[in-house]
Amino acid sequence: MTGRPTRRAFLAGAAAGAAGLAGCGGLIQRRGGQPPVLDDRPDAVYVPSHVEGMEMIGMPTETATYGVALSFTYPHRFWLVRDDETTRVTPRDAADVHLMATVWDRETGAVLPDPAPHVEVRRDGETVAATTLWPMLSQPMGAHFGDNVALDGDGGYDLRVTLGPPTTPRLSGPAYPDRPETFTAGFQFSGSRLETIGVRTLDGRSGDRDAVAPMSMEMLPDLRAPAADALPGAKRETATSGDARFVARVLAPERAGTDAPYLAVSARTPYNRFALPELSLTATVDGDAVPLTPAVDPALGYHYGAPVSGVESASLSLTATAPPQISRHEGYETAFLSMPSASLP
Amino acid sequence: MVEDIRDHGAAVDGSTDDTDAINSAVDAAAPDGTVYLPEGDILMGSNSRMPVVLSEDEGGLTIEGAGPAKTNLLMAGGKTDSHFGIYVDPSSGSSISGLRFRNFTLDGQGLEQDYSIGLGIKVTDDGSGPQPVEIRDCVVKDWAVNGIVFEAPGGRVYNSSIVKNGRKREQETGLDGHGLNCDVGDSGTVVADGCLFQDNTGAGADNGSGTLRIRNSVIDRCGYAVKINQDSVEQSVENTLISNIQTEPGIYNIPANTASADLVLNSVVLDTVEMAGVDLPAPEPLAPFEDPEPDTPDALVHLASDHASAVLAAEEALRGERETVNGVDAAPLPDALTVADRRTGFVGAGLPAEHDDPDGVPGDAVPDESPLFMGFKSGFSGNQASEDRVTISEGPFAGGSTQHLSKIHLDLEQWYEQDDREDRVAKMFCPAHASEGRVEGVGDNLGSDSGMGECPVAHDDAREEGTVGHSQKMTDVREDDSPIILRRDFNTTGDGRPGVHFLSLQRDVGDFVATREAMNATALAEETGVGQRSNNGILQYMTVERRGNFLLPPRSLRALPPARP
Repeated sequence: MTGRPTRRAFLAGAAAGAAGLAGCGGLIQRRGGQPPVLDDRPDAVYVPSHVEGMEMIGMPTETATYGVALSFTYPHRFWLVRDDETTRVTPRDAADVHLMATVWDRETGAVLPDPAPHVEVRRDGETVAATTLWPMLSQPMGAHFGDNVALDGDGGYDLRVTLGPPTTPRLSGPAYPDRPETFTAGFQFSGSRLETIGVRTLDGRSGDRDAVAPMSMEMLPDLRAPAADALPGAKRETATSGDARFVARVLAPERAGTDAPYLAVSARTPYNRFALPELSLTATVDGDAVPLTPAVDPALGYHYGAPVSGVESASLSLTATAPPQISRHEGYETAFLSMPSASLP
Repeated sequence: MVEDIRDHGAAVDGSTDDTDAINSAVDAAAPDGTVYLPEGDILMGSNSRMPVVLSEDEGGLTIEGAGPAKTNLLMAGGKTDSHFGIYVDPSSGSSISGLRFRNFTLDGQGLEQDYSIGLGIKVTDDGSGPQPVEIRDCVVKDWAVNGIVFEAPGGRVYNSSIVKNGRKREQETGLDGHGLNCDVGDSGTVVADGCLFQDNTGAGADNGSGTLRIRNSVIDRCGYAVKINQDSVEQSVENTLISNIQTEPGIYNIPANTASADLVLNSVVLDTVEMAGVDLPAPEPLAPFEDPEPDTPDALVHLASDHASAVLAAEEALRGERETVNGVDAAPLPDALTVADRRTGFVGAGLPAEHDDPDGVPGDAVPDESPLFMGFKSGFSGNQASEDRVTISEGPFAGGSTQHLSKIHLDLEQWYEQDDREDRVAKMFCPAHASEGRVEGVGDNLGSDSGMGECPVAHDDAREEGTVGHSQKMTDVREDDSPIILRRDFNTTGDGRPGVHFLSLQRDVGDFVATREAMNATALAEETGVGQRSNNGILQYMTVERRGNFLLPPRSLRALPPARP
């Protein structure tokens, strides 16, 4: 990456979904706690009550295989997902930060939503906290990993991060190494530093069927799903289910490295175009059920696919037998849960 | 003077017995001449269990063949008593000077015999000192017990192969036999130089007493390479390859812990040691995402009791801090052992809830009646392998078992403060147990097993629910509807954080590996909404920090002091 990276990530209103944050709502005092969850949430992606900034923990780290950006913000609520039910997680009183890791594959540039990083927080050789971060989806960041973590006051910590290999393979190219990779990053924490992270309420738009814009982070690659126009292969129609978008393409066997035409489905969020991971997705091709499995590819990003003979001209529908099992930040916790089958005419 | 046995009437056809011709040639050649064994199969011993007996009268004799690949001296099959190919038996007080055997194969046809004791060449001891018998460029093969036995000092074996001995005895009795067996007394010496010891069921060379020197040799595919007994004086092995050892350590010392011979190893390559029946691999990661430290102490002592005071008293005794325990004299650990690590813990209803002080254990979250931190009963009797299933059934470690010990950190904050009870039931058992409300409290209502028959198979739930339960995944590794490991896990707050010492017994460490692979459910994580760790049983909440593999003695020797029911 070129240019001088900024260590502070801003909520950029200039990116896609031009309804920026500036002027909508205002800076709030974090100490007073989070605004309540909206009473009337649509069963769809919606603009949450507020959105928090975050701060990077050092520069992104490149291990042999992965790029990893560590960041933190205020402890906050999120929702675990099990099948189509959510369990709301309220940060416990002792939690000091919401610790996050964004992970991408250096080979394909695709966001990796499944090699759950284990983070051991150490201070003076003692373990202060150790946790496996949850796979998580948020409107500013897309797929990342995070959890609320209790520290031991202000001061310097070492974060020992162990991750990989992901369960999602590359569609082509070298296989991932079969052992995890580990690195350590320094983390200087203070409560006053945390308080400088901006939080904005979104009074005018909260509850609208829209999303806050993706965060623009200069030192990170663009980890959104590729624009539909940029996807390779022969176009099939795009379908919607539970507010998720399914963009289908058929790739030639030689392009996909398969022995039949490769049906690729990019499942993504509306507005921000983030890949939706951890779906159980089945295609029905001329009446035959074909389970699709996830893979990553430089042009397709994180997607679901399978080689299917004759798929180019077959009737096609998609069924998420289990919706994205990734944990959700506010604004996504009511979307992508009830997902009826979608035909692609 | 060379006496060709054909000149004494030998047929050399492998079916006519040539014993008389051999002895006639020996008589003619002795004392200092040579008996020549021509190319071909020479059968002997059809009517004798000791067809060739040599004494001091034959001193200086050479028996020579046309080459070990050409001359086959065969012991007739069907022996119903102990039998010997060449028996060297000096009378009392006599020495035999310079017996030499060269250039032939001496085949005991051990598997054709009806008796388990048969020796190729035996040199007895008359107590008068060395009997210099030299064996050069020979093959001594397939004798029921041992290939070559020196009871008198002075034996020398050069450039010879001593192979496939002891098979008959193993077949008949389960005991083994050796290539070379020496028992030559305190001042005696035997040398083997340039030899191949291969496929002998026992030792390549067994040193019963005296000094045995092996040089420039290969010991391959034997039960063990060199056996050293308590009366051995010196055992040296130089410039020798020891490979593919089958049942005991390469250098096998019996009885164990008895001071015996000076052992000299110089330029010895100890290659593959394959101890039959026990595969005890070095500890390694058992999930793609884990990075445990290996535990490699020399010994593991596991003390368990319903009474903490009993465990502590036993520990004091082991450390030599008290002389008796429970009225029994204490046996402290040998001085050679020092304590590398001490891991403590607890299991049983109520104990985890009492240990909720450390950071990482949410207060009042662990059910009072739970035997384990995770809040559910897990040692259902139907979820344990039988003792027989985890016991090594044959081989030198029969009756023993393998033991795997891992140290696991538990994230009870995620488990109790983030998941709700329905999530916990779904992830510990199966989603249907959660949605149907089948688990009450810690699961006592489930009876003797965890009710997996009521759950869909894991693959179906992975696709339909995006979640698989821990117990649900484990049904795949059951054998005859029973698990293949016997777990003895217990919780700990040993280093100020909640965890589990997962100790399990299994016949083969591979059984544990298979169990853990089922728990990883990697294929489901690859193909469905189930995460690598999230919604994948309890993988999210446990991080394996250390792993070690151990070999456990037979059950009868396992308790200290021996249990008397």
